[in-house]
Amino acid sequence: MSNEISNDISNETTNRSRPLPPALRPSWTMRETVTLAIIGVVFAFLYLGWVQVWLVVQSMTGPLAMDVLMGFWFSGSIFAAWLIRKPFVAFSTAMLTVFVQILAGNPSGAILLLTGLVQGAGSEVPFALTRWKHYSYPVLMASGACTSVFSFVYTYFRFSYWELAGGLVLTMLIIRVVSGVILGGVLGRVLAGAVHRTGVTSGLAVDYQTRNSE
Amino acid sequence: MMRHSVFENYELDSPLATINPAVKLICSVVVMLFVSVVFDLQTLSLITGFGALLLLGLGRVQPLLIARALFPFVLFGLGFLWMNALLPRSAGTVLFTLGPVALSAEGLRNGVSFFLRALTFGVWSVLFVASTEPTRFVLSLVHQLSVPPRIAYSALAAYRYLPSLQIELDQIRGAHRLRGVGEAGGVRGKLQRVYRYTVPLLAGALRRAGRVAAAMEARGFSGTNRTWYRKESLQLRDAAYALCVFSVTASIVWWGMYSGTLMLWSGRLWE
Repeated sequence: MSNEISNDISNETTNRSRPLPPALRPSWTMRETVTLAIIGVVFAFLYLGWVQVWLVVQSMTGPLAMDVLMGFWFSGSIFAAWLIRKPFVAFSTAMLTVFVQILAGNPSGAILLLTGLVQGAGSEVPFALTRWKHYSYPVLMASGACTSVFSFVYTYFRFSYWELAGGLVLTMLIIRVVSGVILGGVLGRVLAGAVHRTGVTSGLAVDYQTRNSE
Repeated sequence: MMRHSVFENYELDSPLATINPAVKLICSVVVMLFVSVVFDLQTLSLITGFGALLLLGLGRVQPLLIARALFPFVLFGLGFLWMNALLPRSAGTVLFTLGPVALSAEGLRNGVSFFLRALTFGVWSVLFVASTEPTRFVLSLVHQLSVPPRIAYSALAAYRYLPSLQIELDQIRGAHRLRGVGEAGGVRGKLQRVYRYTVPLLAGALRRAGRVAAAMEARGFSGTNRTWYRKESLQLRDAAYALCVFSVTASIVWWGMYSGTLMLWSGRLWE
C-alpha cells in the first residue's frame, strides 16, 4: 500500500520535473527552423520540376492536366507538417516554397504569393482543427483535400470558371480533390515516411512521437 | 579559365558587392514583384536589359557566367513559351497550322511575354546572388531588417544549400549507377527513377539541416542577446543604388505609358 503511494508520488514528480523534449515544446528550436527552411528550398525545386511535367502534359492533354497534377504542389506542406508537427508548419512551407520559386524564376511571379497564401491556409486548416495533435493518414489526406478545395475556389475566380459548364467545373473539382488526397496527402506522407526510415529525422517531433507510441 | 559558379562569384571584388545586401535584395524583389504585372514585351525587355547592364557594369560579372547562370531560367521560360503558344486560354487569330497544331498570335505573344518574364526574374536574381557574400547577407537581415538571428541563420543555411542541390543530385545518380541500378525506360521507369532520387535528396537535405543546426546552436547562433563582431550599416551608396534602380525602372514604365505600349495585368492571367 505505502509502496503504491510512494510509487505514485515518484511518478508524478518525475513527470513534473522531466522537461518536455525540445521537439514537443511549443517554441521552435533551431533544428526545426533550419529543417523547415531546407525543406522549403528542396520542395521549391521539386515543384519547379513538376511545373515542367505539367507544361508537357498540358500541351498533350489540355487544361484538365492542372487538376490532375495539382496535388503534388501541396505535398511539401504535408511532408513538413508530419515531420515537425507544430502549428503553421504547413502554411510556412507553402509560403517559403513560393518565395524560393519566384527567386528561381517561375514566370508567374508575384501572383504566386497569393497562390501560396491560399494553399498554405487550406493545408493548415485540418491540422488546426485537430489542434496540431494528430498526424495520421486521414488527417494528412484531409489536409490535401482541403488545400484542393481552397485552391479550387481561388482558381475559380482567377480563371473565370463560371464561364464553363457546371458539369465540367464539378468534374474538375472532384479530380482536383482526388489529386490533393493522393499526390498531396498520401505522397507527402509516403515521402516523409521513407525519409524517416533513413534515420535522419532523429530529434524531430515525429521521432519522439512514433517511438513513444510503439 | 572560368570555373566558378554564380554562387561563388561574390568572392570577386565589384562595386555591386559593396552595396548593403538587404538593400540589394529589396531592390531586386520589388522589381520582380512589379515585373509580375507587366505583360508587354518592350517594358519587359528594357527592365531585363537594365538588370543585365547593372550586372555587367556594377557587378563586373563575366558575360559567360551570366549566360550560364541564366540557362535554367531560359529552359524554364521556353516551357512556358511553347505551352502558351500552342494552347492559348482563348482562341485568337491563327498564324499558321501544322497538322493538328495551330499557332495563334495571342498565344505566341503571351508565350514570349512569359519567356521574357522568366529571364527578367533570372537577371534580377543573379544580380543579388552573384555579388552578395552570404555572411553579410545574414548580418544585414539582422541589423537592417531586424530579423531574429535564429530565422536569419536558418535562411542562411537554406541559401547555402541551394548551390549544393545539383551536386547532391549528381552524387545520388553516380551512386545508383555504381551499384548497377538500371535506368529503365518508359513512363513507369521514369517515375521510379524520380522516386529513387527524391528520397535520398530529401534525406540528405534533412541530415544537412540537422548538422548545421547543431553546429550553429553549439556556437550560440540562436541566442537573442548576442554581440556582433561585424556590423552591417547603411551608407550613402546604398541609397544611391536604390534610387538608381527605382528611377530607371520608373522611367522605363513612364516611357512605356508615353508611347502607349505598356500593358499591365488586367486582373486575369492567361487572357
